[in-house]
Amino acid sequence: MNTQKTPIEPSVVRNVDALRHLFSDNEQIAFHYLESNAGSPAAVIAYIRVLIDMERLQQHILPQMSKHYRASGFDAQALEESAAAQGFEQTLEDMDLAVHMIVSAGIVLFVEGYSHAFGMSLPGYGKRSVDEPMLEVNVRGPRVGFIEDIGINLGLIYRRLKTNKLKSKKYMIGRDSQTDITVIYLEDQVSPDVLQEVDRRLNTIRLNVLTDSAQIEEWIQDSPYSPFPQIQNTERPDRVATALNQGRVAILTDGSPNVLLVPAVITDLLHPSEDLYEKFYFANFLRILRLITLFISLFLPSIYIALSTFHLEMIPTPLMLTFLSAKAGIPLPTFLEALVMEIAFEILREASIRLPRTVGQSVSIVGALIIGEAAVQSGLVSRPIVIIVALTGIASFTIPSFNTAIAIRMLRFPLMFIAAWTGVLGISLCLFALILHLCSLKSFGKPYITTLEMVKWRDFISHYVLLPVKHRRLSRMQASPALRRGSTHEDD
Amino acid sequence: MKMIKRSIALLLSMAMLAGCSSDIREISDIALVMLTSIDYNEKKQEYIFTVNCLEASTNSSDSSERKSEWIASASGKSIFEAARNLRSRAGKILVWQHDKFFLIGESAARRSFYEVVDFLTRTREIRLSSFLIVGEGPALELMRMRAETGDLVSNEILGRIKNEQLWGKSLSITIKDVVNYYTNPYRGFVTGKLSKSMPIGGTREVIFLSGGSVIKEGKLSNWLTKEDTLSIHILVDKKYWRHLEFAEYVPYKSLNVGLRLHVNKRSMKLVHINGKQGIDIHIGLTGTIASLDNHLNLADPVKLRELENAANRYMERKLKKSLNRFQQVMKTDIIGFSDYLRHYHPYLWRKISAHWVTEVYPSMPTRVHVDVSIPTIGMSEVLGGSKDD
Repeated sequence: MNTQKTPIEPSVVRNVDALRHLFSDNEQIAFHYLESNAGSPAAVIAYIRVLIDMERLQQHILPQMSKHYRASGFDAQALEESAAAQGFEQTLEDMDLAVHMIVSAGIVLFVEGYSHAFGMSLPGYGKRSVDEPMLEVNVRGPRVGFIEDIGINLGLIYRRLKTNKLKSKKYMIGRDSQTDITVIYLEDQVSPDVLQEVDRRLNTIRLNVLTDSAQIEEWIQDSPYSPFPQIQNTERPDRVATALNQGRVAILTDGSPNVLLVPAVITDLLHPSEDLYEKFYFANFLRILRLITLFISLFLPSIYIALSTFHLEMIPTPLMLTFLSAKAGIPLPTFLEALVMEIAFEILREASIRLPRTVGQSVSIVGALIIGEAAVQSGLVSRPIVIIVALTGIASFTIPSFNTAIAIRMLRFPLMFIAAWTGVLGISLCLFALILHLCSLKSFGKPYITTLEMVKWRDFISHYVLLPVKHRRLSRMQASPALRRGSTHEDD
Repeated sequence: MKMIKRSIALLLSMAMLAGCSSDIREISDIALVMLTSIDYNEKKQEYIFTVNCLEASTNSSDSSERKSEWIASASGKSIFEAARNLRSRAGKILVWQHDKFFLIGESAARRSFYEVVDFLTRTREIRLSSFLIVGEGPALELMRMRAETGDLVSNEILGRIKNEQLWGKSLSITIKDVVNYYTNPYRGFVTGKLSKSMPIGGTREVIFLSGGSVIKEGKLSNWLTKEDTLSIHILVDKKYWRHLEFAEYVPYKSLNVGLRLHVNKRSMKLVHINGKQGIDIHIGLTGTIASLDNHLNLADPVKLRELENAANRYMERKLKKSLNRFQQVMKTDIIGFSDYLRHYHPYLWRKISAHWVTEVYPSMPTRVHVDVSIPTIGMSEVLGGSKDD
């Protein structure tokens, strides 16, 4: 950044000239003059038309200021007082700050004879209202989700944690976008190491335009080449509040409804926030179910390929007889069958996401019924593979975090190749490599498989099993300090 | 970026490798062998190898029933050659891993049961947990019989083996059991017997799994009756006792009592009988009353004891008769006395082992004690008949 500041001139006209020069060829810049009794410009208000609330400016701020200025007998001091009363609360010492205020939906008041300016934020651009999140849908629990406005998002979190220990730090990232980033944490819960690391990594970001938190995520995560996300993102304020209470750090980005939570370990990505709102045994049942579906969505097609091409003896005889009749006359080898159906499924899934909601539904019906049924009827693919692909697809929808689900979806394909090449041996080698990779991953210094740093059974159990709420609190208090500060406990 | 390029290159190379493996067997290219039989043709001095296969048929229009059964035979000088000659007729890859039955024809069993077992154990594809059954007459003919229920023949036989424990009059053992028995040259063993006959009220002959076949010195020596097979179950098959349940019709005074019996325990010891060393066998049975042909006050402990004693005597007689047949007629140690003596009386065994088969075993005195207990008598007290018995 340029360290040499451009000063604000005492002359309004010169300031206007300077701004006109900075915003040359920009028709959205506007100036509103307040004239003195001599007819010369005594003050000017500069803003960008499309960003600010024009109605408030024209109907309230300008008439009030002008009236007060005239009534005081064109006194500059009175103008300053009137400006303060109208909400010009920031004093801008140099032209760069003034420009920043203008581009961030603010209005700036230059007064003749003053070598500083006054600024107020007056955003008037369109915003979505607070709504239910699209991706993280809960049956029970709060329905509110973040929107694109960082101020509102912060408000949603602050009203859930009414404590002075909730701290925030502001960053500005993006040379041109000048996007506001706010890091928030609970002072008494957070690990200073994590906080320091977040600060260090955010300061390394070099971007021209920051439009979404995903860019930050990719920039600051530990292993950007790993398919597994090491940073959790959420649209739910309740989830952020829970995470803050676990000693994690939330990173909010202006213009993005996704808040990043660090550090994130694998269990954070497999358990939805709804777990905390259900009775603990239902929640635990669902956790086990999700582990099974995780395994299914990753391994089922490859296990099917391996068993049906290499290890026919591992299939029970009655099942083998069923497969034998199903596979009769199918021209494609099992591997290609599986690959074609998996790719077809991915195409359908992608299409139904991109299409408008109303059309999307019909695409999935057409895809499932017409393609699946027609492919079987015409003898192109066998029935078992349709069941396998459908089961795999449905299983992958149960993974609550979308980016983890993508990772699993992508890993399925290499696994299928390996299964078709070396059978169960290859699958077990892949599983081994996968476990090694997961064990080597870290998120802001925390092991991704948190169990690695656990020494007590109690910690281990409370990490994977959701205990009844009373014991949950107890377990957190008794956990080792390192863990307590880390992101290892589900908490209320 | 380098890493991404490398992983893409790896993936692409894997795509080319997928399908290159020579071990790949697609389900649509295989024929599942469900039943195998081995016969011997004395005249031509050739083995006949027959398989009953299931394969996916491509020309059937009904997609739900696309299985077709295929029975084919081939002959050769050795079993292996015969099995390989069969490949000239098979349109698909034959897969033996799902074959649960090996049927050996009478001629092959009498000539070289040992060779057949040796071939089966040396072949990697064959599961040692499959059943080895001897067929009465040519196995080829039994293979071509249709199943009585209309199901696959192999499924039907499997069901019959599962039902064995509920009547005890047939005995099927697996290849690995056969191999285990072979380690002791002094003893013989019993495996299943498959025969055909006309069922009651039937119109065509069907296959039956009943009785047993006695294998002695690596060859089929005798057939075993149903009664003797049951005795073998009671005396030998400790691991089946938990499930074994058999019916006996015991005469008691003027009545006949139907009993459902379970084996609890069996013990064997070396004793002196009439001045000679002999074997004393103790059998514990538990009985449940299945039927009475007249009124009997079972609640009276004296009567119950009498009934138990009658059952003891009846069972002792039966088992002794079987034992006499095994020793004196068949002259084959199918109970495993030699195993017992070798393990528990090694010094004695060393002295007698040389003459065990020819002299010692056929003349060894045996004594059987049976202890039947009837712990429950049932709820029904009076069902017709007079009060006096």
